[in-house]
Amino acid sequence: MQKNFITIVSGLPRSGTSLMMQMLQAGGMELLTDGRRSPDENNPRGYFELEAVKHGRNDLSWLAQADGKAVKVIHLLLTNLPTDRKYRVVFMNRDLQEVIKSQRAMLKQQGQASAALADSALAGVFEKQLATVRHWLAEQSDFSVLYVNHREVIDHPFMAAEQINAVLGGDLSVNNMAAVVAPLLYRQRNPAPAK
Amino acid sequence: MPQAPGKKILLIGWDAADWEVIDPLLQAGQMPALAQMIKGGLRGNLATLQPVLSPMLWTSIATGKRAEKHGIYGFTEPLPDASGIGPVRSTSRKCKAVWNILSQSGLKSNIIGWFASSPAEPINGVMISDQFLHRPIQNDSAGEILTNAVHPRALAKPAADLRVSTESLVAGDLLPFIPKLAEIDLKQDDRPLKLARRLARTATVQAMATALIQSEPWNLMGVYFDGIDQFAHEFMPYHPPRMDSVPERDFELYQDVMRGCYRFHDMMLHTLLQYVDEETTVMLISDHGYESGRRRPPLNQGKEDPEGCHRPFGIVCLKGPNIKKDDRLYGASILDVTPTILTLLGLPVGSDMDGRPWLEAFEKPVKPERIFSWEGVGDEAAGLHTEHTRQDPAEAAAAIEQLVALGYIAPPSEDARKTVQDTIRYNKTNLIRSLLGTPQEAKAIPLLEELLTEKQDNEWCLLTLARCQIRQGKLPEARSVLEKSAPAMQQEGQVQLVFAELAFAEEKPADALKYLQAAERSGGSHPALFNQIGRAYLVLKRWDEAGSAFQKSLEIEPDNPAALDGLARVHLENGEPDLAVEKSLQAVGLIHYFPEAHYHLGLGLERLDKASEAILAYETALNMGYRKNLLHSHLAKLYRPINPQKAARHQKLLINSQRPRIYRADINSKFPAPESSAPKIQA
Amino acid sequence: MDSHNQKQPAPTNSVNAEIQGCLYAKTPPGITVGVLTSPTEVSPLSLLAAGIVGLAERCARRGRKQ
Repeated sequence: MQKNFITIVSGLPRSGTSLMMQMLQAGGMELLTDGRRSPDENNPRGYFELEAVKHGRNDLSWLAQADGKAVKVIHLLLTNLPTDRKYRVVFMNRDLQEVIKSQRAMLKQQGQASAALADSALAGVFEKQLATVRHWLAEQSDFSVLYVNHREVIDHPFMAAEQINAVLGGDLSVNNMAAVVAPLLYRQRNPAPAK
Repeated sequence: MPQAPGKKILLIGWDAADWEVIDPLLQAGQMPALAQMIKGGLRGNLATLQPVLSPMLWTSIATGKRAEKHGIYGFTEPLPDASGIGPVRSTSRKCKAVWNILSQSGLKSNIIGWFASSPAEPINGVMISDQFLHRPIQNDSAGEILTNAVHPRALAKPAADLRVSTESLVAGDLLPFIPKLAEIDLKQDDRPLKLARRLARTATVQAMATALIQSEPWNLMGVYFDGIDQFAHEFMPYHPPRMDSVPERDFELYQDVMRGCYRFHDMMLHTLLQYVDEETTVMLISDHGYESGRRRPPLNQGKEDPEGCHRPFGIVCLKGPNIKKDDRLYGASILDVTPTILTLLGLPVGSDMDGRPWLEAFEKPVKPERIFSWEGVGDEAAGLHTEHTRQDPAEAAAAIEQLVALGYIAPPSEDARKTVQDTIRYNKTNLIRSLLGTPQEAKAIPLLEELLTEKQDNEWCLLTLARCQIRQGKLPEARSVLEKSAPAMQQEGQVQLVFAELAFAEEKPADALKYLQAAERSGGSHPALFNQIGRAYLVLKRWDEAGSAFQKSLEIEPDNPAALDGLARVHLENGEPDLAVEKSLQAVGLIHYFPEAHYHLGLGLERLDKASEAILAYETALNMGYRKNLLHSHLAKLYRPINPQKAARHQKLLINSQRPRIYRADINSKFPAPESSAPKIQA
Repeated sequence: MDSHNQKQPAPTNSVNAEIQGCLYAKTPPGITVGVLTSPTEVSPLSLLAAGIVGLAERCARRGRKQ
């Protein structure tokens, strides 16, 4: 059944957005991707991206095919989306130190330099970016947002899948979604805080 | 007229206004409003800061802090998404401005056109930001008016209606500036149009100021006019006397523009003064001066180097209840404006502010309160932007670059990327320049090293790094930097100057003199060079030659404080204390924070048997942290006949400072076993 | 803030009159930028300097010309 909203998977890069796209695909949702970036060591099962999305306001043509499908849009580019249609956003949250560690590892693997900023300064910038986006989303009546914790998805995949399915219409296969989660992928993880 | 309870201050900023242009107009009776203000109040020079860039300076004026503390480092900065650059924003400011402090103290501010004030902060009062005034009128429809450039937003439309368009100006508006306007072919010569645009923008500020001053209650009314600076960058080359590089015909047509500009500002001042009463303190300031005489750069060179046209002293004129009348203010700096405003309003001055209130300006003595800092206190009522919107634009750009590198955002065009990187580099250079010669200078070293990582042969960075290292006492490191990089450098004169500084620091004045003479031979003729030559001769006790060198400096720059202080020292050595006092007073009158000059002033006064004035000068130098032993010794001697208690205190401080210290580590450490010799603690 | 302020232009006291006298200039023939209607009027530049009150008068003058 064609849904009358666009599913957006968002968050900081390396916060689990590719994992979430896989889960949605496994659950039966069609993805809007072009496979342009091949799977690699950082994302062995692929990136699930659409190149046109990365151009922000400069290229919104992909929206015409997006109804009923899921598309990955990183946090900063959310505010470029036109507010003339309905969106349901699955926003991935992950510990910022893990995110930064993962970003730096990916850049090193690619042979590129990471930002000449201390981790604390980079975390400060990302926090402000996330706060700005959250503030903007809260003001948008056409955006329904579910904030999902990356650790919770890894530790309790079934519960997470049920929550996500409930928000996205209720017709996804929760079992298939949960089965995607593979702890081996969770390579740059900080130890869980002692209870 | 709605009133806000409490005291009121009208702060008017005239960017680049200079006494050198104003004084002849005052003498000719052509600035009557300012003349009345001076007669009923104080006037003085206002020392600027380096680098002389208006967004940095007007933010220092509004915060009482140097750039390193306020975070505004230039005219432009990267956009939040790093897709290009834009005007510097208020979200980049790292500390409170005076209007934030007033907001949290329950006082109202109306601020118009201040640099780096967009987006408008939600203060207690009205903020019409700089970007609101800069936006071309013809691009606006009702929906496009920059609502985030005005607070409260409801005033955006009424404020937009007050903007004066260039097209609305008539011949009568321009003729006072260009009397021969009819002889100009406007299709060939766009200078009248440039004048009209500048005049329209200035008139817009005046319209908004006169509207707000009577319709919105206020305790502080801050109005910024960029007109004099904007006019000067285009038309100061044509101001009399004619420069050789200016064609005679152009001089004939445009020689009246700058006079007209200043007289128009006086007319606007007159208007604003009609709206305030005798209980309002009026403060007129400029952030820097502007060369108007023979030191002007040639035509066209001025446009390539606008900073090179600026003079280090702007203007200050102050009038109000409890302000002295028909008097002079000495040693004032742009850093002092906010501390003085706070003192006038009965609010404490932050100890983290770099300026001081002008206590000497008050008729009845005032003792200002101090608090540690206004930062982090009462922020919720200060009218600040939300925490998440305030950020360092260079850090934000670096984070975006990382996301681009990760492949999650399409890269900006190569041009845009280069522009962003160049802007970050330029602003970092400005930050370094703002740190030089200040107590925080050591912070410049890691920043210089960052720039050198990007470009190893950056001559300015190498020489500046060496200078900083010398002043931090890192002499071997400085010598290593200089010896490694000097052979390849183009700026031979500058290299010699830095080697001279190193030689001074190594206590080799004869070597320093050789380097300085080499710099002079290679074409150097800057006051700083002659001051250094004078300094070398002083150390070598060659007083006459020292005097000649300082005189050469003053011939180029009559207001050079270091040269004046150098001459004071020469006069002291020549047994001419009265002349020494005269020169020292001139020096400290220009720059208050000049401990050496206060010390020399004290010496001169002491030799003239003016004990109480000498004490004041020595205590000023002591409070600035200058040579404490020496000053305690002088003060002990001077106080002995008049105040034995104070004399004894200074004597005790002198003795204590000469005692070897017992360190806490020695006191707490365990003594060795009795058969070993215990370390002796010296008394 | 009212863009159509009802106040009269600032009173022409002696200081103001002196200022106008200094800066008033007649329009040479052939100027196409605009015209002064009468040499006895407050000069346009003085009205600009007068701010919101002056703008209202300038607006009124343009209305009278049409």
